[in-house]
Amino acid sequence: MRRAVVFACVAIAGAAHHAAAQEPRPGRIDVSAGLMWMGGQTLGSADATETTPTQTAFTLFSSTADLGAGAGIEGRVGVRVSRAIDAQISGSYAKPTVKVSVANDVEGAAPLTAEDRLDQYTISFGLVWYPAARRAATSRVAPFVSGDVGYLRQLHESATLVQTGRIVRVGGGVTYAWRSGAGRLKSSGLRFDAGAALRSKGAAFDDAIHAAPTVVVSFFARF
Amino acid sequence: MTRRRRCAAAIVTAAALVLAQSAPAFAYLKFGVRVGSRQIALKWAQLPVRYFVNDQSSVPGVAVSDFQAAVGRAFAQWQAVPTSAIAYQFGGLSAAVPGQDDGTSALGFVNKPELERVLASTSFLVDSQSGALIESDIFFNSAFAWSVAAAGETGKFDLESIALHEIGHLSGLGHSALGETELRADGGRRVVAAEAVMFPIAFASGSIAGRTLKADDVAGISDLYPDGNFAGDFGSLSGRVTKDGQPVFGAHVIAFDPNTKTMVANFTLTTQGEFTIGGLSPGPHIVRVEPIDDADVESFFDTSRQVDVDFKVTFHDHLVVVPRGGDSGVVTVAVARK
Repeated sequence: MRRAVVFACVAIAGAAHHAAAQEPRPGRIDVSAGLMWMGGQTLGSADATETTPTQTAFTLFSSTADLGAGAGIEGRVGVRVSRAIDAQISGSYAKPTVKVSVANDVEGAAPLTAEDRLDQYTISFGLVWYPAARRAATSRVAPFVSGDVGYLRQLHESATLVQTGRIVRVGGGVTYAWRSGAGRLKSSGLRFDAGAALRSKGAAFDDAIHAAPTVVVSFFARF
Repeated sequence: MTRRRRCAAAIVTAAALVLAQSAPAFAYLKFGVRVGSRQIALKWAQLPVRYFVNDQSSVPGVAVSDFQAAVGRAFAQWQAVPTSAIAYQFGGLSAAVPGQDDGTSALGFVNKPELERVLASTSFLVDSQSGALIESDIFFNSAFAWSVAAAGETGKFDLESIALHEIGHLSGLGHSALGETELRADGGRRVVAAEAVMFPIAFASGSIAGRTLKADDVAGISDLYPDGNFAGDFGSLSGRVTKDGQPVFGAHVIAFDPNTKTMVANFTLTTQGEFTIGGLSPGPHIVRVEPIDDADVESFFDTSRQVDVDFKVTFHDHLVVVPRGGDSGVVTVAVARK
C-alpha cells in the first residue's frame, strides 16, 4: 500500500509543473477526511525474572511486544491563521493488534505469540505550513509541512481497560485542488500526508518513544 | 474451646496443615481454618497484632537486642505495604516461649536439632468455635547458625529474611510457588531463584536476597488485609485450567505484567480447576501455567488433595487484560500431558 501511495504522490507532484490554478489559495476553513495507514512499531520488551541468592536476575521467560500495522480513518479541520500557516485539529480511529511474543522459557514452554486487539483513538492539535504559499496561491498543488501533538487512547479488546499516551506526528505532503470556485466551497481535492508518528505510553511496555511511519490519503474541502 | 493448629511453614519442610482456600473471589493462597461446615481465612480480627520477643534464648552472634531489631525490621516491612492495613506492635521482651498456649504471640529461638531441615516455624492458636486467631508464635531453630549482619555471613542464615517469611505466615499467608529449585545430592533442594518471600524454601546460608518483599507478597497481604482503595485501584484475573477437557487442581498460574515487570501467582483451588489472582496492576498480562515441581506439593496443599503435576508448562494464547477495580473475566487455559 505504501508503494501505491508514494507512486500517487509522485504522479501528483509531477503534474504540478503543468497545472496552474486560476485563483489564490482560497478559503479560510479546511475540512478533510480519509484513510490512514500506520506502520508497525515495537512496544518494548520485558523479561519475567526472579531473584537469585546473590540478588541477580534469573529469567523465567522473555517477551517482546509489537503493535501491528493497520489502516484507519482520519478527519481534520484547519483554520488559516496566516498566508502560509493553518492551525488544525485532527482525530483518528484505528484497530491495531498488539502482539506479544513469549520465548526462552526456562522450563521449556513452547514459544507463542499472544494477541490483543485495540480500539485506538487519537486527537491532535498542530500546524500546517505551506512553504510555497505565494506560489500555492496560483497552483493546484500545494506542498506542506505539518506537525501536531496529541492524545492517544487505546481501549483493549475486552473493553475493560483504557490506556492513554501521547502522540507526536511530523511530516509533510501535498494538496491537489481539482475544483475551485467562487461560491461557499472555495476548492476541493485530495490531500496526501506522509510522516512519522512518535508515541509514548499507551499499550507500550516502557516509557520510551516508539516511532512508526504514517500515510494519510484524504479528500479536502475549503470554505 | 480452642485447638492448636500447627502450620510448619518453615522453609524447607512442608507445612503440616496448609489448607488452601477455595473461596472463588480474590482467592489467594492463604491459611484456612474449618469452623463447622465453613472454611474461613485465617487472619487477625484485631490490629495491630501484638508480638513479644523471648529474652531467654539467643545464639552466638545474635543477642536478644539484635534479634529484636531484625524481626522489628521484618515486621516493619510488611506493615509498610501501602495497600495493606496490616499493623503490628512490639509488646516487649518476655519469657513467653514460642509454641506455648499462653495467649501471647512470641518469637524466639528454640533448639530443635531433630528438625534438621526446619529453620523456623509458625504456629497458630485458633478458636475452633469462631475461627478467630488468638495467638501465633514463631520459633527459630537455634540448631542452625544465624546472622544479623547487614551484608549476611557465609555459612549463616539471615535472620531478617527468615523472619520476613515467617511473619507472612503469622499474618495468614500460605506459600507461594514463585521460585525455581534444583535437587541437591542429599535429596534436598537448592533455590536457584525466587520471586516471593513466601516461597517455601529458603535461599542458601549467607544470602540476604530474601529481605525484600516482592509483588506476589504485596498482593497477598493486600488481599488479606486490604487498605485504602486497593479494591478500586487493582484488579484480578480469573479462569480455569483444563487437561483433556477435565479441570486441573493445584496448577500454578502466573500472571506477568510486562509494564511493571512483576509476577503474581496463585493456584487452581477448586474441583473445577478455577483460579483467581487478585491484587494485579491494571493492564495486559501474560498468563503462564505450570505444575508444582520446584517444591514438595505438601508445601502448598493438604496431603489429602489430589494435585495434578502431570502437564507441560503452557502459556495462554491471548493477552489477558486486567481492568482497574474489576476482573478480567474467565479465561480458560488448556494444558497438555507431559
